Amino acid sequence: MKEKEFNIVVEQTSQRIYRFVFKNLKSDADTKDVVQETYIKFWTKKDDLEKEKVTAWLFTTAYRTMIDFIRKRKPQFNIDEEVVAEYTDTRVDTTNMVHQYLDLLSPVFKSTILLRDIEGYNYAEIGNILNLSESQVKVYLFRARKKLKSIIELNEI
Amino acid sequence: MNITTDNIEEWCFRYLEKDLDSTEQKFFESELTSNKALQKEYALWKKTKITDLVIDFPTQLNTPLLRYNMQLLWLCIELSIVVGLSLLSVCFPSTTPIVKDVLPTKTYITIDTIKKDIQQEYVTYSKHEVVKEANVSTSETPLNAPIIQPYIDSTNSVTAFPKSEEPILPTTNPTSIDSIKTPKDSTVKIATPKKIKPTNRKRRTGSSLIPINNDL
Repeated sequence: MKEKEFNIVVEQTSQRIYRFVFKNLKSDADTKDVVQETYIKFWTKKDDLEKEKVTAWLFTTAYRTMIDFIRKRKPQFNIDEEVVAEYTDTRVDTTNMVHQYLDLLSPVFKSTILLRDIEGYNYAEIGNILNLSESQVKVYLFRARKKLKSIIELNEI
Repeated sequence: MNITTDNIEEWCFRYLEKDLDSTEQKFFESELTSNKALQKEYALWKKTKITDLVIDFPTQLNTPLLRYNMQLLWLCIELSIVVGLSLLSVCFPSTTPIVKDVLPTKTYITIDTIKKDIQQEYVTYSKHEVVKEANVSTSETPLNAPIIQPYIDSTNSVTAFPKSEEPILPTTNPTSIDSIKTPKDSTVKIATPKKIKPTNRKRRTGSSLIPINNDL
């Protein structure tokens, strides 16, 4: 993969990767770090990757980097308040409250839902990204939706 | 095929994920229109589907890099600048003369040279004092005239002399370094550099972190 091709891939995927990671980390700076690290890894392995699998590989790497980041990070909240304020202001109706309830889920559940609903991946692709089997993905997705449903139910009453 | 309280969640999930086959789908849809409990349950499940996620990557990173978009054009611009500057330097070379700082390496102090003010200035420059009342009237060059090298600050790496080339003094009469007698009673006195006496400072004792006032 040449430099130009690499830049094209970055332009095409960076938005999606950023969105995926940001949903989990909730911090602009942390998300940028993870995205940056992901693309650095991509740069080092760009010659070994098949073009068709690049996007899935990027999501996998971003997910793993994010999990590593969460594990390393100190147990404290470092939320970019401006982003959160902007985020909450624009979403006041119940439907969009789901985005906030989504944050209450674990990273695996959250990632499963995001990859399914936002990125539109099938079970096999999600399994590849999250290093899970297809049936596991199905179970995880079911549990994630069930948990989210119970949160919505609880908050609506 | 039946929807019960035990499998209602599974039905909703599968319908939401479009995992049902055509017959199951038709059955579920017909049930959905008639069964209010199912409607309520499915409405909740439907909300778990994330539809829009408006999170934008910071705008400054979205803008395409101009340098990469028009790489060839940028290369041409850079090349033309380099070629232009090099042509300018060839066509209009610098006319400013290069001034070389020429200093003689050795100076022979003779009777004639001491007489002249210019030479005196030079001797002064070389930080060796020449006694003003030197009574010199002959043009003969003494055999044992001292050879004095100009004293140049040794910290300057360009002009500093190697240590071995210190001012050479006459070896014939080593005891009278400060006064040299010429054949016709002319005396040249060469000032010896003052020795700096080391100050009697008390030796610093104790921890280097604690300041000690020696005056107290």
